[in-house]
Amino acid sequence: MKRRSASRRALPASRRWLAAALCLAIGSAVAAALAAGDAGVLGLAPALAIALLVCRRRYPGASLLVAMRSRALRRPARRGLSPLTAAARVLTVAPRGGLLLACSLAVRPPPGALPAR
Amino acid sequence: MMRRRLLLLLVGALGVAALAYPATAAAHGIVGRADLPIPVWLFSWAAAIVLVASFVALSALWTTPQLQSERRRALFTLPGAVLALVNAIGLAVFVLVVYSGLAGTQVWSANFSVTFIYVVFWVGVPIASVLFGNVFSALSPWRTVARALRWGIGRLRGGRTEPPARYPARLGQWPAVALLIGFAWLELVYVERDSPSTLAALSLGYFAAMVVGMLVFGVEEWTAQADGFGAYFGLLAKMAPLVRGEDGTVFLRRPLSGLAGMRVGPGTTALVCAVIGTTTFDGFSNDAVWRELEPHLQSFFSGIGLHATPATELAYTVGLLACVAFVYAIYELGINGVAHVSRRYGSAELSRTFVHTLVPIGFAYVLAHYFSLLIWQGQAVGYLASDPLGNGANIFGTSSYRIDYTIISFAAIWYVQVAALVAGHVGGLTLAHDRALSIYRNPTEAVRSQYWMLTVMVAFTCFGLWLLSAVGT
Repeated sequence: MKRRSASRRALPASRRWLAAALCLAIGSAVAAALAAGDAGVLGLAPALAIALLVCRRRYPGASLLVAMRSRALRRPARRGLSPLTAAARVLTVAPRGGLLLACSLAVRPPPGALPAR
Repeated sequence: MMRRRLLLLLVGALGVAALAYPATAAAHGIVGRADLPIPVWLFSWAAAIVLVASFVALSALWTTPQLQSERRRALFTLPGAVLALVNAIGLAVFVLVVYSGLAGTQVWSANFSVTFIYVVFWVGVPIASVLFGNVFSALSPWRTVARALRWGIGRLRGGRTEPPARYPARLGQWPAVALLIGFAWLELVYVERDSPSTLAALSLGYFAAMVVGMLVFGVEEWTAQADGFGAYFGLLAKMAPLVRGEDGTVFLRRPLSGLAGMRVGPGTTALVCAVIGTTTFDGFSNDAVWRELEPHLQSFFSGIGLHATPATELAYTVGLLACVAFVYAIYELGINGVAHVSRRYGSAELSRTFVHTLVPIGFAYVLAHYFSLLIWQGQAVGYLASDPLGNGANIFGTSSYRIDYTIISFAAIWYVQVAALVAGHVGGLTLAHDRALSIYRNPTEAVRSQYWMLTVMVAFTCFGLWLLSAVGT
């Protein structure tokens, strides 16, 4: 609610002249460039489009970006393996060959972390 | 780490993709425009897409502030003798510039002083500052002389080295702003700008004023606040990955991270806007819009009784100041939008908080507009060094060198210009995002605030490309 009221605040009077002067300057420049046949003025279109959007307090995709950011924050950072885990990784392998046969034939299978020989 | 690499990769790939179309353009009124394979305005659209994609990538992947503090790593220590040598080189070059300006030929292209001041000093030093840190603090002749005098005065006063007066805090960097705009006026407006003797006399005047100011208010304080070039080059040096400590140790830091600790006082925003605005006018004064507008202004001033030359100079002065005001207005309106996102901060506070994001843009504008000048006219230093007075001397045996205009293609210049503009604005966007993360606790507010900064960056990019493309049309 607070955010909503904040976003609806009117432009302060001290800045209105600035906005008006800027609009006038840009408008005159664009008009003069068009009158002079300068197609390069079309390059200003993206800036004007984005400006129009945010001036109307539209923030397309903002909630999606916030969600992506929080997802990225929640994702645990990849860190280097601790020495213990690294050692376990080296030693623990899936049974193969004779060990695989033995495992499958065993009445009670050996523990998963059986060290390889 | 992986996310950051991915982010860098993404931004880099987008930048390359956007630049993968050959074209040619011009800057500083030197380069003529060749035929473009695609319309120029498409480059603006591509640049805007790069900025929007960078904005999305930053918002989603850059989750914690990374550039709010410098993490320095000591590399090596510069011996005092090296610094003294650099000081002496700076002083010797200054003497040569003044002497060649006063005693040499008054043909600008044959005199060392003009090319040195407008090319090596005005364009080369900013680039060196961004690459290697604040090199000008060591090269500055007025700083060297003022330090030597202060040391001598200190010896006479029994070791007391404190300056006799305190620099007025309310002045801030306004003197530097005035001097920087004054230099831009000299370069872009004044009709005698190419006169070597005028430049030499002005250099001497500037030198004297700076030395007196430094002796009265302190060398470091005056350099940072009132020396137009010291403040300007010092500002750009904060982008550099290298920084020199007081004891001469050179440190490595993350590029741009020096800007986060930038001292922002009265006039700092105006200083940054002046850098962008004066460069903007350099491009704009070659544009069709200005060519339409300028005669009306000139006739207005002629109508109130001025002669042709002052009328033209006044018209150009109005244009120069209007460009600075235009840049300031865009920034302030963007900041005003940021202030609307949350009641937490006021516009004035945010303006100071985000002003460092304009510094990479200022450098991008300088590099884009003056790159061709540096590459081509910079070669003239080769033969002017051998014949600084233009009297036929051949001191180093290089006086027969000529400028090789084929050293770089028009397309390569355009690539550099577009790449500089886009990279500078992505840098500004990155700084703004990083700052927003550190000041807003609410992620929604942080993201929304950056929509406004994105608007400012896209506006500056599109405007800059339009100006570059308009030169020579």
